[in-house]
Amino acid sequence: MLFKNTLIKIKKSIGRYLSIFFIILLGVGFLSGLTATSPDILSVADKYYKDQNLMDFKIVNPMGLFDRDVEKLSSLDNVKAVIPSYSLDVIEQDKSIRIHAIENSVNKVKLIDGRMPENLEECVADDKFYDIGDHIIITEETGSLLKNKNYTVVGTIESVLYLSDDYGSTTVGDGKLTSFIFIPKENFTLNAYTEIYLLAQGTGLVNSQGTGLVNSYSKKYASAVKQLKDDIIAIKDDTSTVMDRNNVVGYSDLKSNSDIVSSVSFVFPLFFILIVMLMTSNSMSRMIAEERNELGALTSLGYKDESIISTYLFYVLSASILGAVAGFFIGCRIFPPLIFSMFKYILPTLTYKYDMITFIIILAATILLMVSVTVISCYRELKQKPAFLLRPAILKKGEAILLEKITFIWKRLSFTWKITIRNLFRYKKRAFMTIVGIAGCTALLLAGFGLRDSMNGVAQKQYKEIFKYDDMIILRGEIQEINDVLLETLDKEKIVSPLLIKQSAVKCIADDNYSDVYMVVPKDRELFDDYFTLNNPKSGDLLALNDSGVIISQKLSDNLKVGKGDLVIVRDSNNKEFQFKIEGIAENYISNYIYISENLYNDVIDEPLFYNTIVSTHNSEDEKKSAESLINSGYVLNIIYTDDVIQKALDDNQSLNGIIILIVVVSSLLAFIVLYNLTTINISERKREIATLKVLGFNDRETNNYIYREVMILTIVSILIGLVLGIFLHSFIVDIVEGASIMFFRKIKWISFAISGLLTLAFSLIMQFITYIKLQKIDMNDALKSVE
Amino acid sequence: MSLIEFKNIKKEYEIGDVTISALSDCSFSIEKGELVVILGPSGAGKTTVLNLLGGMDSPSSGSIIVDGKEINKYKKNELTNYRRTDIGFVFQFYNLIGNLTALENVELACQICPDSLDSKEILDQVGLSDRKKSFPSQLSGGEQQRVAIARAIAKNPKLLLCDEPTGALDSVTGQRIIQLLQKTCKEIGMTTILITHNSVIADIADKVIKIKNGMVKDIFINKNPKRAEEIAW
Repeated sequence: MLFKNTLIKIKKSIGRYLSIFFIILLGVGFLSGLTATSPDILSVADKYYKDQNLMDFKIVNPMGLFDRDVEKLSSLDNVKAVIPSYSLDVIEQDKSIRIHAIENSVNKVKLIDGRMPENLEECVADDKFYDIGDHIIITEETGSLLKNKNYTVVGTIESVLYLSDDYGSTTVGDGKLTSFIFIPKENFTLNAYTEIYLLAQGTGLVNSQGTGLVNSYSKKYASAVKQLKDDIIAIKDDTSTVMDRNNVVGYSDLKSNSDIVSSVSFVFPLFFILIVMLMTSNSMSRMIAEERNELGALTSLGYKDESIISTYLFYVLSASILGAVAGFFIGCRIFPPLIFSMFKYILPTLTYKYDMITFIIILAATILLMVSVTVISCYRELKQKPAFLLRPAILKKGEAILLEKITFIWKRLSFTWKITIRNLFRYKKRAFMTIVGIAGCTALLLAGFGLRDSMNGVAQKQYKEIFKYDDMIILRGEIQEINDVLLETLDKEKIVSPLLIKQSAVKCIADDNYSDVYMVVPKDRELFDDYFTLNNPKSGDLLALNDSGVIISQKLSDNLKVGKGDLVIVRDSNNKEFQFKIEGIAENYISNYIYISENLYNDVIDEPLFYNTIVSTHNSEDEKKSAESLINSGYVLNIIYTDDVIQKALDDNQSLNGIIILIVVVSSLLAFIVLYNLTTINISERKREIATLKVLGFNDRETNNYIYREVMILTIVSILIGLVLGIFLHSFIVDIVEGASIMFFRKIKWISFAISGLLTLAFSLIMQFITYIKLQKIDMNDALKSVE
Repeated sequence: MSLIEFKNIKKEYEIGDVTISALSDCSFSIEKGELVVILGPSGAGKTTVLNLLGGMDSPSSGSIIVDGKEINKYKKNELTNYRRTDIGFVFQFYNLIGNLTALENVELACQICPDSLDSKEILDQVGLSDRKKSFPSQLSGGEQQRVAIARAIAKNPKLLLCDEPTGALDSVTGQRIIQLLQKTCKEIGMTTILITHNSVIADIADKVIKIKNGMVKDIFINKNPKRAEEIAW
């Protein structure tokens, strides 16, 4: 019977039941989705490494490696395989690419389309840049290194050596590695190996998938390879360098990024737990209060407290468990792929995993939480005697608030304001819940819209206001002067005011921190000032490049934790290190730069300064034709138009919309659920009060004012709190999304503050309108006669 | 003409498919300044009469004239205004607002009435001079009902309607409440209608209207109404 009674209860208060269901769904969805993300991504990566036999170590030596090195390495303990191989960085038409030898037992390529090469004229190439049928033409002298200089792409691939779309640096061309191809090993005609790959025992070997393998990012892996690394270092030549997996593009980034997600995933649940507890406790107290009579009847019939509480438990738990189950599966389905797509790693598609252990833990935690909240709320009510329960509830104790003691303020308040203020303090739990819920909603919205503000326009700012050149011309060879022929060619294509720069990818190091950076050395300081606007990010003052030190970009200074006056080490692609003093920090958003004056470069670096790039103003109308004739001139490797760069950046920002939509949906749901729960409880609890007001002759407007003034004040206060919280949440998220080489605007536009606030207000007004209808329906007679 | 004319009133409620007749042909009149007791067992239709008089409900047929105005034709807004200016209510369960002090409960009613009386003076009159700043939860049942009466009177209404005002009180306290109502009726000259099932209380009325099964069974005038102190139950 009690059970049937509960089902009727659910039906009668379906709104309240659903509000518990949805808030649990939202909370569990957030928690499980975010916690699943990191393991999902790491597991897809780990499986990928194992399937492709990602090497554990790579040994390189600029002097070459030989069979005796292979033998020495093979003699080490815990070595599963030693594979000598080749790679070569070359210029392919207009870009720098790396050519690898196809290996079958290590760093296997993943064929996306087409087939593997069958003869020496064929190759498989980077899926991101090439299509089947493309011709790869190596446009530099490779001498005795390669049999072939022309290849046909017969298959497109992804390689486990390139996990992120930033491929790193090279010593050829502009120093930036653009793409890669794999060719049959027999093509290489070098007399020494360029590298030796080494697989450790039990980490990810051929034909040994499954049991016994160590997870790539685990501590076990780290300790397993640590000993091996020391052994290798002990026997290697002085000129050899041992590189572990961290050297693989994106390998360590992936780990640190997914760690960040894990840490975020613990912030949100706390917030939801708070909301859920408040909401359930409110709902329970209210239900019990509404059903006093029935409870009295049941207890007087001799039902035990336990069996009465069990009906409430059934009510709460059925909603919570359904919510938790739905939340878990929806969360695990939505969050990981969305976050994965933001990361932009080159990995196989994410497979959804529903980790049952996590599920059981979450479910158990939910049940525990809900049971304790329910039981505590119920016992508080049920400890009273049955006879007492059958009598009307004693009015909640009114009390004077602190403000009343400050008589000079209190006296000035109008009567209705006094009531409103006192009511605000009367229902503390509810006021608190409103603030948490509404402020949370506003904060989420602000973070979402703020994120858009932060990302939008970054590319324009970087490539229009900071960099003012129209194009960047990558030269075929390194030069010291623009000779007359080149000048004439440029003139003909209406390229004016060319500035020669040396631009190369280097590493900057300070203490234990390092960062990938473009080093820029301009030939002409006046033109440099025209094309590169280096501002102090705080004061906005122009910085002038001088001979006493370097100017570094903002993000680089953050990454390295260095400032003006500190020293920074530049390590070039030949691993040579040079030290510079920092003269200034410049506003900059995309990539990291270190600017060095010609004289300073010559002072510090003992090699002659050659330039490899021209930046210029461009007046030609047909960009494509102009690019073609420049490249045909023989001087130019590639020309990059600034407008194209901006367009690409804009396209990249599209993935952001998904996140923003998710945030708006989640926060509006949150606001609706919390507000619905609150206002229905509010009205139910104050039915008598409202009826009394109606009887006293308050018209609808006055009655609504009496109820809604409180709600409005709470909403507005919450929105203000939410806006402040949103600023913190925003900067927290921006930190995560930025990564190491991008900087977003930190400022949130006023319009976003306005939209977030107004949207929350709108949610609140819609909810008030719904409850307004309920309010209209309150029957004076019923409410006054009922014993409550 | 009488202050109140209640003519041939019928009131039917539809609950689902069933039509329940609460009042069938009910007529009476009440003079200005009278203390009237409407007497009847529970379910007789007393409360329906009070709801109709108080503008909380409209009759199915018949007319109710209060001070020359036909309130049965009033729209919702007019009824609200009627309750606001012309009627003071006192209920069995007091219906005070828990978060307002005694004084504030009275002020709450006064602030929306044009001709309201001074809240503090009224509280003095009902004998709560020193409880003005107390909240309902700090007051006894009798005291709470006094606040409710003060709240009704302070509006300076034409008509004071009391629905079982002693129903939740012990007899001694109840008697004091009756005494207070009788006193205000006589001293201020406020027309007062008291609904009860307690026939002892009828002895204090100027006029008694007995209701049974939705009909007026009897109306009689007490030539010598008892003083409240003289009754006991």
